[in-house]
Amino acid sequence: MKIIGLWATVLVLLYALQTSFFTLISFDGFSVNLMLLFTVSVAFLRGQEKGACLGFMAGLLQDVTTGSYFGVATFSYMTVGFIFGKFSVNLFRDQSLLPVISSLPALAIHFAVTISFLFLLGWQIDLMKFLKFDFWPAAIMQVVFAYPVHRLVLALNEFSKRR
Amino acid sequence: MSNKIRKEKKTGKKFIALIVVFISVFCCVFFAARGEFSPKASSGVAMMIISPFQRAFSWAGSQLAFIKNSVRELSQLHEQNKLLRQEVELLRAQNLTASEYASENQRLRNLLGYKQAAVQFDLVAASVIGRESSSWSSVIVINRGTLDGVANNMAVVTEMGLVGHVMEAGVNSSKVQLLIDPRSSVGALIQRPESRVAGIVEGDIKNPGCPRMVNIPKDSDVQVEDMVVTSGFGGVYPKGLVVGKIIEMHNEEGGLLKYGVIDTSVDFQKLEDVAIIVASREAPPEPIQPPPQTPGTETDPYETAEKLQKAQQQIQEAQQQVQEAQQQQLQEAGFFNEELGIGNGE
Repeated sequence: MKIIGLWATVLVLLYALQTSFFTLISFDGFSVNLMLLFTVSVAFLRGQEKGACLGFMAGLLQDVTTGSYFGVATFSYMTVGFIFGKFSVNLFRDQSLLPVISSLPALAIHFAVTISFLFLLGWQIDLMKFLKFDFWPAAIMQVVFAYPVHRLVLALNEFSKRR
Repeated sequence: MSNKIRKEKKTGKKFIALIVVFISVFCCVFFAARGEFSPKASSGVAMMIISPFQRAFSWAGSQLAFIKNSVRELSQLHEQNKLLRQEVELLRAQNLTASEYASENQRLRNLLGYKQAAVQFDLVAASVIGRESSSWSSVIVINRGTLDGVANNMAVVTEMGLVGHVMEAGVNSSKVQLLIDPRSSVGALIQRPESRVAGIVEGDIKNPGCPRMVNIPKDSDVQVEDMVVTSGFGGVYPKGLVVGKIIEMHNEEGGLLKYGVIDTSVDFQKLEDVAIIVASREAPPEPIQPPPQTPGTETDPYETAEKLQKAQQQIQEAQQQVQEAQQQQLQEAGFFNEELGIGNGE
């Protein structure tokens, strides 16, 4: 129970950090999506069930607090957690480079899911403009922060195992 | 320890549960988009939990943003300062150039004015490009030579007066011996009509700035403040070029002659543009000016002349008419016929 509380606290802290601290020091309006990085790292280390579960929690937290359409972030993070958890079987756990590289496809999946929902809800989105002006700046931020987040998740994972 | 392949067994139930969750969330999105589902209560609770952390992180973030913005502003200010300094330097250089051009423009305007006024001279404008000045020599170098029509012994002037003469004309530059050079001697006379005393202006080695007018008879009426002009004797300097004015008069040691110290009209320290007199001729006569008129009774001389012409014409016409009338009267009186008859009879 304490371990779950610890994970939840870290999740809340990371979310608070993402929505307050990093928005203030954002680069040209783009800030890092720590929830997505956290989900990817957990999925890599704990498998697809835990990954999807944590994605669900992270997405739910985001949808409940700041999400414009309830459920979009939940579905997106769950999907990311589920997909990247699939690879955890064939991975070395302390491999740090892979989560860093994976932050890019994870972001792509997250954007793809979000855009699909928006499209289904009747929004008109210019994909080329989106890729040019939104995706790459956000991707750079993700790559920069992927390693520290993964180290944090790795430490938490070790701590949880010891307890 | 952790470098081992992770293997997990999937259970069918968990997988089905996951699919159910996915579908539920998927449906939730559309319900929420339609406004049929809104997690207001849970949103409030979540915000209540998160907000203290957000506040703390916001404060830290704002401090960091402040520092970041300050650093950026400092960087921008530094860049701006550098650019402004460059701009100031550029503008100063431009200002200096503009001042130089303005000064040159003024000098050339003055020289042009002199050239237009001195119609008896053909002038070639030149710039001073070199200067040799010592106690025993005052020579300048100008940027005109034989290619420009300059020859030895040509007089060099400015709009203020005489500068000197060309002592050595090169192909594209010339040496000019200044009036204040101790070796220089110029035939001069006092401009005042009552005086017109002739003398020689020569450089003074003891007082290089002020040449002397020597060979002035002791009983002449040369006074301080008299203007000195060239006399035209000797053929080098045309007559009437301003040399300067007498500021002091002294007796020569012999006692028969005296000399005057001259304040030259040309400032030899500020000599930049000069003109060489390449040819000179007699000055055309001044146009006749109408005599001064008594204030309050001024008339236009041209108009008066026209009126006079008209009056003369009218007088001539009147005289002609009188003559014609007299002839007619004589004819009517038969004087001509009688005279003719008498004449004829005779």
